[in-house]
Amino acid sequence: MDIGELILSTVRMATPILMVALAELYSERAGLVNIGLDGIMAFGALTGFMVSFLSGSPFLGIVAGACGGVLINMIYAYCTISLCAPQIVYGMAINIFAPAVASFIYRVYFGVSSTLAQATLMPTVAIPGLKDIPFLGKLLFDQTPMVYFAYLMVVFTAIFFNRTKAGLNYKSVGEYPKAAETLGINVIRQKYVACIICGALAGIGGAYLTTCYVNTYSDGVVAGRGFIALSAVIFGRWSAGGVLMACLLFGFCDALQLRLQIFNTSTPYQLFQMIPYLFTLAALAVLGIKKSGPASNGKPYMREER
Amino acid sequence: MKIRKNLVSILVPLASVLLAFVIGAIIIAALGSNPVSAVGYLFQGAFGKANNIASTLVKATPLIFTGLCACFAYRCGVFNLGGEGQFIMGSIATCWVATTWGIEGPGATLLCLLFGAVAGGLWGAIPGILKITRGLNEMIVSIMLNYVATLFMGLLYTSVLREGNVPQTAAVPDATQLQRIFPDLRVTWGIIIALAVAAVVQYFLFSTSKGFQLRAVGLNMTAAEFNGFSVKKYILYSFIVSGALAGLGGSVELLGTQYRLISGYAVGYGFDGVAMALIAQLNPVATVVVAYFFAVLRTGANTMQAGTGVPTSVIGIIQALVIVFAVAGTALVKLPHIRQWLSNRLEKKGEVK
Amino acid sequence: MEELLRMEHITKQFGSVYANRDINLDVRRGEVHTLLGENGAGKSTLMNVLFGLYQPTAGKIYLNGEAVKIASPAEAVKKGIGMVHQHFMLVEAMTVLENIILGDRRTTGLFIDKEARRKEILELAERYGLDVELDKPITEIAVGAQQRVEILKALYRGAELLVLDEPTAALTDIETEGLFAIIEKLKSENKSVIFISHKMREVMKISDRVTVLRAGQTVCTLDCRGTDSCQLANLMIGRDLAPSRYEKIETPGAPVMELSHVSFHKSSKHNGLNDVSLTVGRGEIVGIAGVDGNGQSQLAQIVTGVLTPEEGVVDLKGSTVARFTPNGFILENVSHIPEDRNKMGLIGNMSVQDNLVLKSTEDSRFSDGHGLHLKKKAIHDYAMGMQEKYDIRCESVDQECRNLSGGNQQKVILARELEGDPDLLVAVHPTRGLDIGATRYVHDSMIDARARGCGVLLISADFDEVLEVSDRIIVIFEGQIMGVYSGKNPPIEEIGLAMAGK
Repeated sequence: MDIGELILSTVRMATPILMVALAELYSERAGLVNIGLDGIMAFGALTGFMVSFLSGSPFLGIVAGACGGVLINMIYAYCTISLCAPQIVYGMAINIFAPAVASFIYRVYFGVSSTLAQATLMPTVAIPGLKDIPFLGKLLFDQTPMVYFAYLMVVFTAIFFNRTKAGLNYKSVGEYPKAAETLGINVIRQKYVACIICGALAGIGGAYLTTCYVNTYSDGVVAGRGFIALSAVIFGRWSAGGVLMACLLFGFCDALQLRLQIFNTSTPYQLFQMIPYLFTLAALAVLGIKKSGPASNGKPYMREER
Repeated sequence: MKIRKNLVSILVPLASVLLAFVIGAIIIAALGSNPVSAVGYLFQGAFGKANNIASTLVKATPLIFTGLCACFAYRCGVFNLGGEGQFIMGSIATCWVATTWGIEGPGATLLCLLFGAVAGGLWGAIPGILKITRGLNEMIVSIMLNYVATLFMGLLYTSVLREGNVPQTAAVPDATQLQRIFPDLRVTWGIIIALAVAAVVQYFLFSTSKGFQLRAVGLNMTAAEFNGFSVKKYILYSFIVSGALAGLGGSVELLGTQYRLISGYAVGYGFDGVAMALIAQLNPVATVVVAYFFAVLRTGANTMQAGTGVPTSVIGIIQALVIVFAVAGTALVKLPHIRQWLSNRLEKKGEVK
Repeated sequence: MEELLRMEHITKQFGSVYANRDINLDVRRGEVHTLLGENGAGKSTLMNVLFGLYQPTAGKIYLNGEAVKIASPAEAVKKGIGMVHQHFMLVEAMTVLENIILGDRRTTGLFIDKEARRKEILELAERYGLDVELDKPITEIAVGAQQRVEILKALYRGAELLVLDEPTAALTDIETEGLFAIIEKLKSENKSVIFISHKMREVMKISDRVTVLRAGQTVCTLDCRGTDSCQLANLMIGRDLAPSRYEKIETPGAPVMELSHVSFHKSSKHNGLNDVSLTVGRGEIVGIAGVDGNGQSQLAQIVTGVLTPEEGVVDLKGSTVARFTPNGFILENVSHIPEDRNKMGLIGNMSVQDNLVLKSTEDSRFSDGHGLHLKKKAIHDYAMGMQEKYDIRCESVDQECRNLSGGNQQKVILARELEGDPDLLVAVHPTRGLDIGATRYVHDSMIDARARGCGVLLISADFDEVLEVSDRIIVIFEGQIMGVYSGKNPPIEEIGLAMAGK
């Protein structure tokens, strides 16, 4: 087995999960647990594919994916923030709703039995200089721009939450919204902003699948990546760096199982696919969920409560 | 007062269905078809012939089980989103007993059903145990376990229990399968089992002391604790029973409809079940009705597509909209000021002071 | 001294309940002004109005002589009002420094300039003698230090008027001394402090003037030098008391429950019990008097099996309790009227009849085969009987409990708890929020239970109530028993001072 190929594949597999895990990180840091990631991704995948197919530009596709994600997530935002609907239940509703809409639009536009529509994939862009590093250069610095974007987002997110004032205020909303309110932070607005960021990133994660990974849309293209991303956030202890590590680990498992499938070895590849879930369950069971993560995560915030 | 309160809890899902259909009709009209005739085809597909009714019942059977699974756990105040995993584990246990033990016949069928329920119950116990001992969020855990179960099933049909070149397991022997009620119709005794189980769940929740206490725990855990009920025990038991209901459903599905495990088996049943239980306001009998309604939509969709050219996926949207509206509607009527408004409207006479 | 704040005719209504009614308060520059009052007197509501968390139903606020409208906490902060809430508004996962600069908009720039801020904050801390470790996370510092962080947070935002809501509630004596030193320092810097407390000793020590609130209304404002703690205690408790309507019993029967040297979270003054011993006999009502939050909840939960004491022994009807579970106590015929009827007593979304039989559905009166089949008709008939007997006013026994008025909810609990003829009744704040009629009904019911030989442990923050029905009065303060008094001709002033920790 070629180690280089494996690393390349790991990076590729980790990218969409990473993007979506960051989306969830932004959401949960504002106290909103969003399990509707799969749904948002599905919709992002469709809008991304459609626009990329029609315009011929995968980059426009990514932008469309972000918009689609935001659109879908606004439903979640309104219902959980303004109506105080239970977050998990509503995330689940999004998971049923968004793929249904995506599937419908695809059927209507492309017809039921037409030949497979294909869009151009985003080309890779080598970074001059860095790509010439022996071995690693080819693997890490000759990727699509989206890969670079995802990793830059990790750096940005780490700086944002740890070094900036806006990031500090943002975190306080997920930790203790009432305290944030008494300090003049607009909790409700911050939560909506969080939903916009989350929708956009998850939408991009979905669009990545249909503009950089495969060149067509099909129902089920997301394949549970949203839940792996959710695991990555928990496993990565709600920090950008931790999330990156978790995503790389999960991406590696994914890459490995694909290799195993291709080479048809006797090792059952599903065992590797289970790893993200088992790791998360073990981490939760050993560490306990309460010791980490935003303190007011998942709780609705009612302003006028006496 | 009770009637008025029930009125609200019936009106929310009804309004959601209505609203979803209106939007569905607009979409159909936008596609250039006549919504009325589309709905006509839809119902013709679901009820037109005896065999259509039979297929609707076949489609409804697994949904009833996963709906009851979600309903039971919610009644105890815990969220079991792992219905799909428990359903699959039930199917796996059934498949294992039916195809590898070398037994056949009605005795084997009963054994299969028993193993299915036990496997589902054990799988359901995991989030319950982790919740009461480690304080973990049962929803996240049960979702993770769905994926583990799905992958485990994949492992079985691609390697351990694989039969032949195609990745699938051997079929359940004819003699062990659930038999048809009428020789000419597809519907098996599975639907009868489902209805019986729903009746038992309804009876348990509303006519026994344990069911009463379980509901009390679900509605107010602190008060239940203060009044001497062991809250943790109820949570664990409700998870086990809830899992067993889904596991039994998996068993019935395998023995009565699918016969073998294969890629794509049971996808989405768990979440559908949760959605149905929510729309049914956690009432087991109403859950059966909602499951049947969903099945009607699904069987009717093909006829509608053949008759009008409207793609079946519009039905997916209508279903999803019902869920979206019902959940939002339920949250809406619980908001303090809306509640106030409602009670002013509905309970004007109020309590005699 | 010039006037800094004046609140005129402040009224705040929640539904039909008046939390504040026509309250007046004025605070001068450089003074410590105490708001004194029992729980529920309206202190917190008034301060929440001042801090912009609530909008007053009527009334005006003047700052520096100008009428102002305070729409949000952010505006209050901008106007120089700082508030240290009783439950600290600190983000536990963040450091002290981060908490202080959170939400700060005085400096532009994207990044947190920790070093510059640190210097600024340290200077401020030095000036007011606020000793804090800036880089420690909140979870790692003591409660007293957290309070200093809260004060520093307010000062950092330029507070001229600092509201301290029961600041000593969670502090040790030494920490309290430290706080008082800080308050003196603030005074000397010409800042004003509104101090909320019901501890007489502290009030007398620190304040310049005192405004006494009672039942949502201003009683009076006094200069501290012209008064003493006895007068204040009387003003706070108020009302010339009518003699009790009930006959007091002086010789109780055999003990039903005995606590010896029971401790729970001994070191924590406000949610613990420290070496508590007491006895409740058959046919007597023992009243526990004390200001809320001095260990009453813990006491109530230990004698009903919800909590397990860390030290000491509880004897129930002559035998020592080995395992503390609510069910075990219920089986021993202990009844419980819990402090929060909606949270602990009733299942609000269940009907009146369901709540009446909550504990006894397995009883053969209400079900066949130990709960296998509920006899709905029998339950309904029983509930109708109870509705009649306890005068529960509801549309029907199918009505959900949460839609009943507080008094009728309490009657549902009474009916459930008294119907089994308990040996011991633990009643916690049984008349909180009830009107006079309902209150009297609850008291009569307790007296009836006493007549049947039931021992009653009444835990109440309402001093009148304790005086009214108790045969013996035990005063609890900071988890300790301050004294035991006879219920017949009790020494009211002495008890009042004991309640205030004197």
